[in-house]
Amino acid sequence: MNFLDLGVISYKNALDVQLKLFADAINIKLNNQNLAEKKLPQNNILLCEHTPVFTLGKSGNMENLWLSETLLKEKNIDFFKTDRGGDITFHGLGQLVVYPILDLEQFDMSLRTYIEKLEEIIIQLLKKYDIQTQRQPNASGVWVNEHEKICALGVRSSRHVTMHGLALNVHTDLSYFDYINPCGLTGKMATSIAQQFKPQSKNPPTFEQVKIDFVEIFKANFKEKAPQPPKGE
Amino acid sequence: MEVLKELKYTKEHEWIKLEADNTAYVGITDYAQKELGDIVFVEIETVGEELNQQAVFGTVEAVKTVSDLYLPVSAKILEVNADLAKDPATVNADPYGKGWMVKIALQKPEQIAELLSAEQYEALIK
Repeated sequence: MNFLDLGVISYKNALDVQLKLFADAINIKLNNQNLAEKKLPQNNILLCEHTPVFTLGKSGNMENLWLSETLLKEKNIDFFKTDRGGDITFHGLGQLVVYPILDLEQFDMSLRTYIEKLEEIIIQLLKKYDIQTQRQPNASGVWVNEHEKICALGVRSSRHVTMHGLALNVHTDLSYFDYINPCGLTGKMATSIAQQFKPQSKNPPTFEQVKIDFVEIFKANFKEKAPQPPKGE
Repeated sequence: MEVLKELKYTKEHEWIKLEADNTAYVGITDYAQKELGDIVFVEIETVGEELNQQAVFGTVEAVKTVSDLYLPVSAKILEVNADLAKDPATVNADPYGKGWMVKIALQKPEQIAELLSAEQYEALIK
């Protein structure tokens, strides 16, 4: 597994990186059909922070964006339609965005198990900061209670290769979420680690710390299968 | 997990039901719909196209994921199940019946022999 830290990057530029790695991995797998010795695509995990952008999922509803094009420009916020699952969401500074481009076959994992793992990693990570979280049966992401979401999640998969991923609010400016109906779910709100962190005696974890902790927990949860020994003739 | 004896299957969790005139119905299995969870959107825009075996013929969106649909055999897409646009959850409720996805005309009927039998598919999802 290869972790790539893209730092602060626009949604569009990170998407280009994702699409390239996603297509490369799929092509290797498709080519394998004609090869005696199968090649395994590299598993890449992109970590980044986006400049402010609203993104709308494949079947998302434009009505969930409450800002006109003019106002978007004025406030310097990008807008993107994308092919992930889910409705509308916001990405911006202070939010840890993770895009794992994984070949799930190398982890012996179904798509459902993969999503559960991602959620589990975030739940474990937040527990480290004494923030109790939960899943919601009919909504994606990780929530601190039934109204407040701390981590958004949406995945696309093709030939068992994944793209898109998750966005965890560390110290995101949450006022941006006022301009949307997040995930298309009325009455739901976004929250962050900074907002949920309770101990008065300690400072909330820094963005860098959250990133380090995330990578550590991710590594512990995703183990590539040992390559199959070649079958003797 | 329901697996119907009379159907053929793929390891991508699609089923195919052969009709008499070299046409067939294709959908996703009971296992697949349970894996995906509540299906919110089925997008198939390949009607009229001739596609190779294993080509992507559409996508299915659940609450947390978007995944591709693969054609079990080379075929022309004749028809899409229009009811799924109105009520995609039909795939969850009745994956082998009202939740069918496309009707196809087989181009290489001999490819059927390469597909999984119900017993083989059952062993795969165990």
